Amino acid sequence: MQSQFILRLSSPPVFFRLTGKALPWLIGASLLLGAIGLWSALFVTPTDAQQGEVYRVLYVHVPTAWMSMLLYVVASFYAVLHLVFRTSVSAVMMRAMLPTGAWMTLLALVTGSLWGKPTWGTYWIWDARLTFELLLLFIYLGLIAVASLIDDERKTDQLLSVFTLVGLVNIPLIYFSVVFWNTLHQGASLSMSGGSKMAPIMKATLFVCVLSMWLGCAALAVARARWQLVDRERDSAWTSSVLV
Amino acid sequence: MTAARLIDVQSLPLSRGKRTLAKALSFTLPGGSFMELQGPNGSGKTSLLRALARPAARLESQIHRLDGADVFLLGQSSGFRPELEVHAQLALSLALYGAPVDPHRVRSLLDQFGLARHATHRVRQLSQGQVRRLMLAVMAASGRTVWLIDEPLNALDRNAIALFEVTLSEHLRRGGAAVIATHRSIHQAMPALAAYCAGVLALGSSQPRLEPLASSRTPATHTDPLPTARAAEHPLIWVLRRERLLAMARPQDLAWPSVFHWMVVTLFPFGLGSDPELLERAAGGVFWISALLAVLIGATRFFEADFEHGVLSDCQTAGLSLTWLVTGKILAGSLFIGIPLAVSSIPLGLLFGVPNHLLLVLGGSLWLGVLSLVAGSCLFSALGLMARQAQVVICLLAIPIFVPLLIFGTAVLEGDMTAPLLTLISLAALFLLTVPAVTARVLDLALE
Repeated sequence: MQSQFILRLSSPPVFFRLTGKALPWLIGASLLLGAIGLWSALFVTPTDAQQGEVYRVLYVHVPTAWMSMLLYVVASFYAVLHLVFRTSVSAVMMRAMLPTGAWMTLLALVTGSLWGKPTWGTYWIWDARLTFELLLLFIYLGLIAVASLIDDERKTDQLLSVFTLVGLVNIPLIYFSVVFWNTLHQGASLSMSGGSKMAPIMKATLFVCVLSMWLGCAALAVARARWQLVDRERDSAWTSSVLV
Repeated sequence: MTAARLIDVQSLPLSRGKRTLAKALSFTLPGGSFMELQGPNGSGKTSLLRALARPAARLESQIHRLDGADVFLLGQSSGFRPELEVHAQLALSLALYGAPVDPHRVRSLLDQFGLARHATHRVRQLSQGQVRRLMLAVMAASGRTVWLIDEPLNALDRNAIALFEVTLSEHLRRGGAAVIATHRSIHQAMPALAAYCAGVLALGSSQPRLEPLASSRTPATHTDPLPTARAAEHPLIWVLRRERLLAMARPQDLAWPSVFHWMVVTLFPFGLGSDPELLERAAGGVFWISALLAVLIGATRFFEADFEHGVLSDCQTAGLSLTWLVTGKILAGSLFIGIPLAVSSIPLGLLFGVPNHLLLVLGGSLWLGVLSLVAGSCLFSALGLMARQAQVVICLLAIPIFVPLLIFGTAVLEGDMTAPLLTLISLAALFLLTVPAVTARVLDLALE
């Protein structure tokens, strides 16, 4: 039953219709949670003992950083799907993740840099986590360049799938770099095995912000994917009813 | 005696890019006969020949090659590298198709096709007609049963046309088959071959079908195609042999990366200042960045020449796995680019005050690094085949791959060297094992 639903999702008109229904909910939830998170981040959460007010950048920096990595992993998942099943939907979803991911990476680097100046005394340092995050930005830009500069659509899909997977090796490097190497960037504050070093209200606010960012990115990517799909299939029958 | 059906095509759709050229082509070609493909420019003659030569995986079921028939494609590009000598190139091409090769056979082939005087000349010194003659020679001696010929009479003089007629009739009498795309009708230009003509397929019409000739007679009896003796040379050996010949023909291609490396390494002290302590600390980084740039700059041309001259598509038709081709290129690069670069870095290290006991380590680690760099560059140059104007942008993708290499490479010269050295070795092994398959996949896409 469930597998049938997934199979049906790979049909472009079905995908378009279902995501069209989901999109307003995604946007609404993202904005709502974003508002709550923002208010909580600015007014509800207490001041940090060491860093003072400036630590509040964390509520933007951490979600964007996580999104930059998560979007790449999701793009890789769609890349695998495309290599195996060769559907338009998987190709389009993979392509749609890349610009959003690039923006998230850029935001993470910029917010991190702004946070670093008052706390570490420098805008930038060449430690492992920052360097690999910068490399992630290069990977996103390179993939976007490949997507826009090669004419044949089908070939580009396959190439993008292959190279997205090649770049996947960067993600564990970013994530575990703080474990492997002693860096200036702080270690993991939130670990799966309980015992985190943050106050509960901060954790909750961060969770809301992450969720809001996740839904927002999903909305952006899905919206982009839908329009790329319509563009691809513009010769098919179902698109004529969409483009009024 | 009924002839074996060598090619059987059922409802084959033919398209080029997004354009559909023909919806469903069906024809059968028995052994000992040939068919003509005719049609206006752009109607799909070359596309059909290429589809028959290398059917894309999803079309496999619609093209049946029966009785072990294998193909030879005589296309528009020669498959020869212009810098090689004629006899060497002929020997390589014959070896590619698994035909037996010995100097006597090569000489007699060159004699037969009127190229004996040019045996030691470079292929680039031949005229276009002479190159076509050489291609005919390879086709005649290849031992393949089905010949796919695109415009056979192009650039051929009268003698060469006569040679072609003789070669083709010999092939047909021995039970081989041919599909000939041609503007001039073969069975009219060469009446002696009309008996073998199975018909004409006119592309460009709404329902192209193989139309037998009005005056078709039963073809002369022939023997079934003989099984050809396959020379058992391993594909990797063939690739390495060819790379060695190419390297000897173009020594400047080998020297350039090392010279560039020397230039960059020597320029750095002028930029950094001559403080010996600074130079010693910077040595690792300078050498590695210079090596990276030296390899990357030449990388864009790794596959370009082979791609443009049709060597890659010939390898596909001949059944040589592109994975071996890439492996061979990587190994050749590590030998012909890596060794000079690494060896020359040893005295250069003295310029930077690298301690004596570390000089060999510097050379060795650079060699390992160049192997990985060449492997990565192969992948990106294959990608660059499809987006020429984007070569520089594609380097953006290369940087994240090479940065870990750089980090471990420079770490070799600082303090404890065992861990970084082991990492370099494993990275080189990892690149050598994984890159060829991925690059072959990208090359397949570029060749479609």
